Amino acid sequence: MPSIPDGIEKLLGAVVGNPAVLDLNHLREAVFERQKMNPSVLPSGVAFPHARTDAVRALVIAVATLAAPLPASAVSVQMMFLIGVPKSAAKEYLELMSLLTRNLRTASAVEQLCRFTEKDEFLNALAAT
Amino acid sequence: MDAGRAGRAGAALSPRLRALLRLKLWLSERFRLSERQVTLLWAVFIGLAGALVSDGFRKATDLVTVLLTNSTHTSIQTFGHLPWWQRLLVPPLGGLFAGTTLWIGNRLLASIRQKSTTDYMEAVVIGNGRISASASLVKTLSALFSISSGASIGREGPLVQLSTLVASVIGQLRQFPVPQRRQLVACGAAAGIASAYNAPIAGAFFVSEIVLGTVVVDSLGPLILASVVATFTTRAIHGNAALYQSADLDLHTRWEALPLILMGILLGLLAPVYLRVLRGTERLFTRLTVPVSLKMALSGAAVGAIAVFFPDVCGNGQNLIRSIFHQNWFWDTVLTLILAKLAATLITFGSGAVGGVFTPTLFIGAATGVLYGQLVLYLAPQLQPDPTIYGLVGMGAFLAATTGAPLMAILMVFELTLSYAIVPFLMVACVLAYYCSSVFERRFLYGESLERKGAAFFSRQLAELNLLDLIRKDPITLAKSASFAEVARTFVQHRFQHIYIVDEDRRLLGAVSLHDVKAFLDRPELESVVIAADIMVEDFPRIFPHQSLRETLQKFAEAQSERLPVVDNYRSQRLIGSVSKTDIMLHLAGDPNPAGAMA
Repeated sequence: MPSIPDGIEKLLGAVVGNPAVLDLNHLREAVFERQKMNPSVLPSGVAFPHARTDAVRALVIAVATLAAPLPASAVSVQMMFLIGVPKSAAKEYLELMSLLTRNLRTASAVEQLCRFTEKDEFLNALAAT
Repeated sequence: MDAGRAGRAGAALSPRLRALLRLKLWLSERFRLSERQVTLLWAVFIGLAGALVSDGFRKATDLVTVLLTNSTHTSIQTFGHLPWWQRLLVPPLGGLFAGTTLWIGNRLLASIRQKSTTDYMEAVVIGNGRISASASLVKTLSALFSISSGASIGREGPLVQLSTLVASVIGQLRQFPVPQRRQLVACGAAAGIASAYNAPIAGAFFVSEIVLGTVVVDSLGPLILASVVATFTTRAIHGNAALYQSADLDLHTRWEALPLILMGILLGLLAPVYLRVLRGTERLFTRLTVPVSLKMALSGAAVGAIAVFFPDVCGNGQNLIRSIFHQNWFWDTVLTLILAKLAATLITFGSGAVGGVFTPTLFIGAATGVLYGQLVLYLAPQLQPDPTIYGLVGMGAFLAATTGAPLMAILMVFELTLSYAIVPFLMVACVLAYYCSSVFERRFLYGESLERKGAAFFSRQLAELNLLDLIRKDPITLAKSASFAEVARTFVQHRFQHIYIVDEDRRLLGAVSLHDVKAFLDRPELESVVIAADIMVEDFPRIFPHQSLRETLQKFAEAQSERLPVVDNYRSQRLIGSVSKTDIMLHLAGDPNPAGAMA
């Protein structure tokens, strides 16, 4: 049965070749290290595996909606955002997290977004939430 | 709060608590008291307390004078009205009491005196801001007996002693760090001078120029506040009048500037002689191998013998200065009084009596100025010189030349007389007197005692300053896994701009800056997804205890932060405290030669 780490690996695969990613292995280590400390999961079913690391030179985001929810402590995760943030961008990181957590705080908003399979549709819906 | 206690606070904040925190953050951002503001508030209290204890000392001396002489007049009037045998007996009796008090005090408090000083200048400049309360009270009691019995010595000494003692006690009770304690003691000194002379500006500048040796805004602010509050309090008790306020004074012709300038030069040349005679008399008395009580009784007997013929020499000279400005004494009377007062002051001061020479020095300058004015009147009557003007300018010039503090001297005479017309001439005379004096003499009044206690040690101490002395050992810390809710709560609860992030062994991992997170502190959504590690600056500047002052200040300049963490060494990076830029600057403000210290 797939798990959150499996989901993270999938998302890491999605950023391979992204010019903002300087070192994929380093990014992987940083994300899993951060997960060990305190996995970031909203009660609405959204996980944010992320890290502030020098392995990226700009903000990098990969998102996945899950066909089958993954268990994460008391929450079933339906959507995952992998986020890599440069160490120097603490404020941008907080702005992004603030925006995402505010827009995805309800289960209904997450369910609605999970219906979209096309990238553009998804991003438009996320922005409109 | 530390890494080990982070877990409990990790819970989310309730909406009510969040609203409360928002309000508190808003209030604390606008009304937060920095360390400097806290010092300012205490300066106000020290000004008030300094004036009240000074007034208490004045009243106590009046009471003891009444007991010793059965008269309620001031010293001059009292001794003028006493029969000759009483003039002869009261000063040695007072000297005996004063000396015995010192003798007993020194025996009882020998161990205490080794641990802390009674000298406020030492406490401010090279000490730790601690003044021994019991030893100070012994000195004050001794001064009380000397001054009440007509010793020719200034009352400002014990007034400053008491004010600085109050400030030191406050600093110790509040457990302020060393620089803040020193600053408060300096405030006490300013309050003492201001209440002694009803001179708020000079009170602040006396401490700044003479004690600290530099005029720095950071340290001058609290001094001014303490000084002003002390003056207002003293005025509320004793009235508003300037000590030597004179009727409208003005020069009849601008040509008078020339003899005034010449007087500045002459007094500047006379000052080194005066200073050396003071020191010489002190040395002479130290050769007397008799107990201090007998020494002071003998000194009192000598002053009493002078007072039989010239009762005006008794007391600090304050009323004598007033008399010399308002009574048209002949030149021979003035000259006799100068010599008699000088002899009485030298004997009293040399014997080790507790008190100041500030007012006696003012008198010598004022009387010499008046004498010089009379000479100008005799030689060039067409100038129509007013000897009072020469007396006032002479008072300032001699003060500048003996204290090495021309700025304070100018301000002091202006405040004592409130005569603006003489100020330009006063300024020139003070500066010239100071420069002429400093050609021949580098050991001015007040600085000398510090020099004796080791100016070399002081410079070395600064050059090798141990930062551990300036460290606050209670920095605010959190674990890197601390939730955003806890970060927000910690910022609201404390006054600092940064929270240091440490691991289980207190190794410094970084710092979270209020500047970075303050716009997000009221976002409840972030509480469950963001932790301290996500928002901390890992390469936050840090200081090591062995670093020199130069390196430390450079770190502050680079970091643009008021406070930086201190870690034990480069390898282990264990957090041992934090140090603030203000503390270091205050420490430096006490340095008479900062460039040398930092080399």
